[in-house]
Amino acid sequence: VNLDQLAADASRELVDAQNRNTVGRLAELKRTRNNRRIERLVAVVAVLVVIGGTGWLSSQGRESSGPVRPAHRSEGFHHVVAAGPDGAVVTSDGELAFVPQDAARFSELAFTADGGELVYQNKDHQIAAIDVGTGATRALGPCPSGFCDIALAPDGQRLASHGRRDGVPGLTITTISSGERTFLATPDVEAFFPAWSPDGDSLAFIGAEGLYTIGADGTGLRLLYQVDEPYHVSGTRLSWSPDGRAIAFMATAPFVDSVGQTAQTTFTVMTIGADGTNPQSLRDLGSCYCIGIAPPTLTWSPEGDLIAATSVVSNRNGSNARVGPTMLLRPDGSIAETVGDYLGSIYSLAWQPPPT
Amino acid sequence: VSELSPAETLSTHGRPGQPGSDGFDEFYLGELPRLVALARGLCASEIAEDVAQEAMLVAYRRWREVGSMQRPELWVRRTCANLATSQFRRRLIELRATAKLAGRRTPAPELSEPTGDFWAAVRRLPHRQAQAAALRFIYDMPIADIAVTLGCSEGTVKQHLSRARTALAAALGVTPGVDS
Repeated sequence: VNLDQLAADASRELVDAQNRNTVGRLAELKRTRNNRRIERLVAVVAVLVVIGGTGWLSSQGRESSGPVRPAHRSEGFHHVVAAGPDGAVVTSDGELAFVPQDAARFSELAFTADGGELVYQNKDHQIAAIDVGTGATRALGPCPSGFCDIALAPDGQRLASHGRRDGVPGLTITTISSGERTFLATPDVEAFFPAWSPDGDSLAFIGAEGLYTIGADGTGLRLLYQVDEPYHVSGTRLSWSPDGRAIAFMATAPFVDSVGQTAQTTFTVMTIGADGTNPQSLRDLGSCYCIGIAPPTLTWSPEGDLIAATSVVSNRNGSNARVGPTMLLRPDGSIAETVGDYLGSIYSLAWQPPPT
Repeated sequence: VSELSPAETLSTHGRPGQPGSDGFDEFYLGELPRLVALARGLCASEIAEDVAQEAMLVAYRRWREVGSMQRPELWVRRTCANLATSQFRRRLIELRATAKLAGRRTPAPELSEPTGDFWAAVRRLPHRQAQAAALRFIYDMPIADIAVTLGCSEGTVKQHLSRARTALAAALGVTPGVDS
């Protein structure tokens, strides 16, 4: 017996000795892929909950103190604020201002439609609003769930957040004045980071398969944009354009080595029409081994001409990551300007509407 | 024999196509049986199906890119061969496979003793030699395709195969013959 004959026999037997239920294995593969996508999104959110609850990330900014400032600036000034681990606010002139002392480390931020108040989450897991002119605060009620991804409706009367009722995932809508809660079921889809449309009639949110929309009355659940592998939707806030015609979101893609193992993560600002058409990648915002770094986030300007987005900076191999400049992007993805190079992690951005 | 360079063979046709899995099902059904055999030749039979499935899962996740390659089967064979011989990644797959043993599908049929001995000897080879030998024997793959699959030169493949043949012949007590 020579080696070739032995190898031929051994190879033939090896190939013949396989289970032949390849159709069943194909179905199993697709189930596994979906399960892993869901696990991944849930894991991202869980990490954010841990971060928010424990302040695990190191704070590189200053201690928070004092009221929000500036309340208003001259016309044309970009009133961008960002919440970091120390509750700091970075303004477009590069100065640091601060959200209230009681702001949670990783609060979501939202201005009211008139720009007069900034809504945030405080350290007692309560939602509050601060008058940006006087510094007076008022309570809006408790966070509806452990993961307080609140979104303020344009009418200033309702808050949307991730929710679950009787084991069914969905969105919780809280009427601020009465505390009354309604539930929008999103069967089979965990709904995170809701964002109201400017007319308040619908919401966009992030789910395992991508970007979804649903009517504010709970009807019309739709997978607006399925993010195809290797891309994912980042677990960060969405933002509607002020005219309601487009949605901006953050896509992520793992850098994959030769055997498909994730090495580091890249972030890309994307927009898509509110009707699901014309998805566009605007700009890559960097890549990193993003442990200990809040993922980039974004918000549309009140005038709709710019998108503010944070970035990440790292070495070529993805190490030594930190938060990079906050960029103001034009619709074509070009940079209109950068607004400071805040050294702390930035978890949320808000853009103050011009004074009325 | 592939007439394409390695870069051309594993490169995509321009930009990846639209989202979807067009053609993946057919690719999967045609490629899986020998892919499992490749994995089984290179690692323990208990996890071979999972290794092959994991390689296919990566291909499925990246099908826009992989599906537009001129030879997607070479890409998935490379991924499978690397997974099967990487200690760390194989360990992860072992853990996953162990976790679902309770609902385990029917185990693969046992191999005869000579066949089992042969593949055990292959697995004892250095990783690159084992990969080259398995691709050669299971797929009857030309040297050029093995080079593309493993991402090395044809000369390196010939060297790996020559050393593998010598080592296998000695381990199994047969004449080495000459690779044709």
